[in-house]
Amino acid sequence: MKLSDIMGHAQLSGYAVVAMLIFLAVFVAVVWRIFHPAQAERWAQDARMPLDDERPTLPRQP
Amino acid sequence: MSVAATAAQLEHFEYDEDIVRKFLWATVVWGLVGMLVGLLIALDLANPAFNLGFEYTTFGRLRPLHTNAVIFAFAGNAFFCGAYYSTQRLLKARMFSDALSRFHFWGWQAIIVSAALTLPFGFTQAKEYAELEWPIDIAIAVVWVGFAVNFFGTIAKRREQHLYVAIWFYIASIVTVAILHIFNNLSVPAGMLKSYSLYAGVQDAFMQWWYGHNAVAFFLTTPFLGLMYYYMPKAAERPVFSYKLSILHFWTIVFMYIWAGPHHLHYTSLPEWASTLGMLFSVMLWMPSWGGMVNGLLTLRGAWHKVTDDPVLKFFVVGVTAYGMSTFEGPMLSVKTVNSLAHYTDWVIAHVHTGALGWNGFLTFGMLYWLAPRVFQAPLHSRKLAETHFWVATFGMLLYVVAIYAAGVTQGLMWRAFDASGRLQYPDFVETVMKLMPMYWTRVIGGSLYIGGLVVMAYNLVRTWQARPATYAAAAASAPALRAAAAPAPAIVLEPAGGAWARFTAARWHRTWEGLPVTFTVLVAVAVAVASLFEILPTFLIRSNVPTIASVKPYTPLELAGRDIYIKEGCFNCHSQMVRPFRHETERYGEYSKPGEFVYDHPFLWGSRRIGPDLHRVGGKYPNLWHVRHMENPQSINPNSIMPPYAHMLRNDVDFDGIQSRVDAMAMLGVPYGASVTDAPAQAREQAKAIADEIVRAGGPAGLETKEVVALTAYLQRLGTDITRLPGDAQAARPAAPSGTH
Repeated sequence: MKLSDIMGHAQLSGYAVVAMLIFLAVFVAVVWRIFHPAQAERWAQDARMPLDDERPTLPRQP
Repeated sequence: MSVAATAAQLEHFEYDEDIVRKFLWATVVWGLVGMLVGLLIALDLANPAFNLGFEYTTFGRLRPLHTNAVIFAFAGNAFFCGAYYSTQRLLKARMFSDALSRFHFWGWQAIIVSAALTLPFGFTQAKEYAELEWPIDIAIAVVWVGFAVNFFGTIAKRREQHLYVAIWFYIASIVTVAILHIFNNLSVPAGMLKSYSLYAGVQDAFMQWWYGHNAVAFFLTTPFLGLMYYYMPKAAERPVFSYKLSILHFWTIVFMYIWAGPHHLHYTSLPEWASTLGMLFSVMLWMPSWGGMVNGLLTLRGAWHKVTDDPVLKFFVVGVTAYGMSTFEGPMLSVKTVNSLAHYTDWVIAHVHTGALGWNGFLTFGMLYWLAPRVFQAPLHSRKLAETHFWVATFGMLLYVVAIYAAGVTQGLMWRAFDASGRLQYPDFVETVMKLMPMYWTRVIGGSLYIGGLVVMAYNLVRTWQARPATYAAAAASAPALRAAAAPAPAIVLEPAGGAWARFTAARWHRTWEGLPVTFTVLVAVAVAVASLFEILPTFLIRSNVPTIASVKPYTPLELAGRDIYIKEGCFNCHSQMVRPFRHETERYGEYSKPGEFVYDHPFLWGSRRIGPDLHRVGGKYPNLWHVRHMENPQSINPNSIMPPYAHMLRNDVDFDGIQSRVDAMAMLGVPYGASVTDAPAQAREQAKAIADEIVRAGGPAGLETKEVVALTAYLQRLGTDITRLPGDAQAARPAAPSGTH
């Protein structure tokens, strides 16, 4: 019996839909988290990074 | 939250701008080359005389050169140019290794030159945007690894704690392109510049369009989104409209794009569940794509007055708008009903050119106009010429895409039209081609204008460069040294009250990822790999997805040689081999294609476009002599045909001795070749003689038994005929047929 026979009888096609739903859930979680008001100030700071050619916005610790 | 100012000792360093200048010139030069080849093949379609009568300059040979040149040479060098400039500044560090930067630059240019030297000679894997043969593929992987080491090395020695969102997009591009390139190009060599894909038929198609779609995503979209998020704020002198939206944009693109590939294969032999999954994710992609477009355009809030004066912003506005248009159209085209009309037509060509000319082209032009005065340390030679470039290119692009949209819809509607008696209204395929000629000529004009604009830019940049100082001033910068920053560490207050849940919602975990680029990179790779595996593996492992057909046998050695000639000439660039299950297709071409018919097709040759008719059921449709006459001079068969002549096939000899190694390579891939693995050349000569004798008996030319046209005829006569034979007939029908079964 080949691997493809075993997999063929395992009814796995539906798992692609499960994966899609997991991804959708992750998407919803990311949306909810990003728009949480707690980080608004930090996002505003990061948004200015390309404009700061002189010094790091937040110097890195070694 | 507050960030305390650090009193750490400053380190002084210089950014490497020489590498930026190198990639800038490469972008301009290859842009001109790639687009001029595009113009030549546009002329080929408007009038076949522009194929120039050489076997090296036909549409089939040059179309891959055009696509490779504009994608990997023009857009690739543009990405590298913009990334080398922005990465150093966003990370406050010089590139990790100047030697690796130079290796990347010269290695990439060598790859482009090798593409230009192999594709016109017919050395191709026959996979769209992955045509280059295996030695060049290995070189690409090596150069890409060099780029990745240099990039991640720079991240490792950065002086900026956080990675700006542009860097995330660069990381995703570098990681995903590596994965796509390696897995789609797995093949078995059958010579120095010949190989066969590891995958066959349905699986190969699935892998190819997983790659093909994501090459668009991670070579033409995410790198340019990274560039947009850096250069748009720089040019507008405004921060990005919403950083939150940019994060959302990034993760949704990474999570969703990788699933969308199967929408290129609707109504083909691909399992329907995969096709539907691809469609669903494609439609969902509309959300993040437009989020990115809105984010880009709204970065100009309060600065719209600058657009009227600044050609850089003009290019960016049209570029980002084109991104929005093409990412609205992409999901729409992925909907099955729309796709049934648009697939194989010029509509898809118009769609990709909205993206390539508008999004990639205009973003690149804007970026180069912004960069040139900075890296050449001289004012832009002429703002007026840049304005001229903008308007000429915009008009040219619109002319191009509007004409080709019209051509695509016309084609699709004519193919499916029935008359009152229920018969095809346009049964002669060439009728549908002739209708497109005005649109094809309009495209030539539009494309010429676009290239004219590029010439103006090249002149403007050369003049700017000529005004450079005798010696470039160093691009000096300073930032707190890493070792010193430890003492007065920046005080980041990031601890909200309320326990673990509150800490989660405060997004500290995401901040941690950003500080850990390796972890961040692994997470991106996992998202891409999981999506790919869930979608692709079932097709490989579940036998019911590709039902086998007992009467389908491997190609004979001569047919295999003929198939390789079909690949060499790039016939798949104009002819599909996939009859979809629609009445208008079965009426025109014959029985619809079945997945089991392609199990020995390494690589698959379904094609993506019908400039000429589908060929999957062409076997047995015409006599052998018809094929010889048609190849020698297509217009002698049909005066309105736009197919170039392939008279060289009546002169060029088949490499009979080389057939054995090709059969052996196929056998290595599991194709049951039986006795052919020991005497393939003799079997091929025997079948070729039989066909050549039949051609003479029919009144055709003598002496063709060693010529390429006979091998190609053998292949074409075999196409799509296996399912009409009973299993026992396979041997009798072809004297040299392999004896294996599967």
